[in-house]
Amino acid sequence: MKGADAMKIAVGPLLFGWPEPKIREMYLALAAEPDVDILYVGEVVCSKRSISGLQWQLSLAEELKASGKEIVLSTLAMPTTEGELQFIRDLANAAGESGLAIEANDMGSVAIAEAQGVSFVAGPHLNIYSYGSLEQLRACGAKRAVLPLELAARDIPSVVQQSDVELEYFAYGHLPLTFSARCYAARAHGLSKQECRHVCFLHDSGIEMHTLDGRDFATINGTQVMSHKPFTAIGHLEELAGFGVHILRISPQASGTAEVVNRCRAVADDLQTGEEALSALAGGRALQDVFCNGYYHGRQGRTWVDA
Amino acid sequence: MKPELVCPAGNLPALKAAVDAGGDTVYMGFRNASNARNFEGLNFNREEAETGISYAHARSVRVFVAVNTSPRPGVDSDWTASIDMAAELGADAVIVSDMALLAYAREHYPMLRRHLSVQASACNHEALNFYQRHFDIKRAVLPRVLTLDAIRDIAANTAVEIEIFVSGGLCVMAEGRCWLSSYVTGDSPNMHGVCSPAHAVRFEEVDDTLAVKLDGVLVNRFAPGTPAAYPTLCKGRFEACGKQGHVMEDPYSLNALDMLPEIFAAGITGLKIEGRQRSKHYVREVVSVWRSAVDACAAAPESYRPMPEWMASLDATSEGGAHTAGAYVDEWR
Repeated sequence: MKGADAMKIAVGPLLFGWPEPKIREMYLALAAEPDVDILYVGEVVCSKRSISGLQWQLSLAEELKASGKEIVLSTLAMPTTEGELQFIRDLANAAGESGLAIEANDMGSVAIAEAQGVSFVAGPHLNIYSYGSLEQLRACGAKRAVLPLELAARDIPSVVQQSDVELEYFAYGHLPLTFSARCYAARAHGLSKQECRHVCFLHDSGIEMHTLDGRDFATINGTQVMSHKPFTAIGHLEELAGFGVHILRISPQASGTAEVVNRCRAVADDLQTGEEALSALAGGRALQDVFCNGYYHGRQGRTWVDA
Repeated sequence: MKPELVCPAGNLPALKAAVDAGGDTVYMGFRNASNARNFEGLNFNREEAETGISYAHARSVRVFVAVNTSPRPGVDSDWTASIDMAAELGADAVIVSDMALLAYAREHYPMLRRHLSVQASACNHEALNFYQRHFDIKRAVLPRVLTLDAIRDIAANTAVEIEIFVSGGLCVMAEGRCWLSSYVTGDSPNMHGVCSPAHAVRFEEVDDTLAVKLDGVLVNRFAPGTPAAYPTLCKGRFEACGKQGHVMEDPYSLNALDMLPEIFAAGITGLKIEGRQRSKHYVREVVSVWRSAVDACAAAPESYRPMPEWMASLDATSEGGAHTAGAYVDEWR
């Protein structure tokens, strides 16, 4: 497939709240997948989930490095306490020492990476809607960027222009739509964020939220709200390559992540068509009942647009 | 030091009401997608802006202009033109979120104060100091996701002035990092300056109840005779874990009158009242209450207590008719 065969595949940071042994098991399995090129590791949504702290994340990264794949250390999207900022400073410091990049999901993390001279990936929560913003981040040390998920694919070229920042596109997974100070998972269980008892660990794919007439609406993931269905752009890889995308991000799910990676690779390498890959991933169900892709087409994010 | 009361002006009558009711500063936007309240019938054209700024300046009231959405690819001249117009009309500051626009404003109008919009979602001092280093911002409006303790820490670790929301509609998500509106309707605060836009709202009578939908998605349902609230997505009723209710946020308004002495002590420069979409009557009422409260607290912070009639007045005019201190207190989370 024109241009797509050169694309790399990244497994994004796990966005759901899982107990640490389960997270490690998933990443070790994906590190053994030949089709995975890049692994992002680290908590993005809620610092309360990081039970064992910095050393745990660093030792998992160290373990994954043995696979020969690129490892990126992801950071919190909304650090508001000094403890959370210090975690990011320490992580950036460790990343610098071992030659790894961090994924910055907040301008505070960009500031820390810039101050420490650590290379970073500008994550999807930095609001890069314009070429000027992308160039500003490049000047601060961004080697790669993920543009806002709501941006239509056709608008990518005018944001990227001639920038030499690598472009990564969120190509599969539940869309992370919002962040709040309030934990909606705790609230759904009648608890507060302070006394959350880690209820998110009970829901490895988040909590489904429906409308009052019983229709699918969205997914609660702690302090985050996500799309109900996974987004997919697997049917548009050639077009994405033409728009300047170098890397496809697959956001890990509770099951089936390796199959998504394998099929994505196969489509990029012209071993199967996007339609074949999608209908296999949908297990025979109609695509609009399984996936959303409205944002790709500049439409409502929850919707499915054929072709 | 007494914090500055920063008041909403959605149009010329509201601007005059805010000035007359004792606002120290008013904030406004131009009539295009360059500001985060791009609502039908709101905002200022050039002539109205000129009149409004003259009216405010003649009464020693400052005017900030919000240019706080992200330039849309291909039509970004709407945004730079808004910065140009703010500078030409003598605005006292521009409120900006996008880095490219901040850079534009700094390059072309170095003497025009740049304030970081809440839409930039800067929620720690590292972020504020970053924007200060690169764009020489003088002030930042903080997202409504921080506790007052966290705000105090931020203020203590930056030379950037801090402005916080104290009254009005409560955005419960980190502003600038919420795509719920485009997920449902296709239009978002960051790109279109709207959240849960009016053009997508439909009211339908179904089996004796009033269904309120946003682009076909049921956001709430009301029994006959109960007032129907505007279907802002995060304040809708949904179902999760088998329970129906306000899964994300109750339809309350923010009201920090109770916390004014702590806010004074936290090193905060600006107190912002939300509501550019509200009427001149609302603006006059709310600004008057806050003027009285800020003056009372400045005169005697130890003995300050919000007057019952202030609370009643704010509740009567507020969305939902009830209030919360939101993220400023830990229990809300």
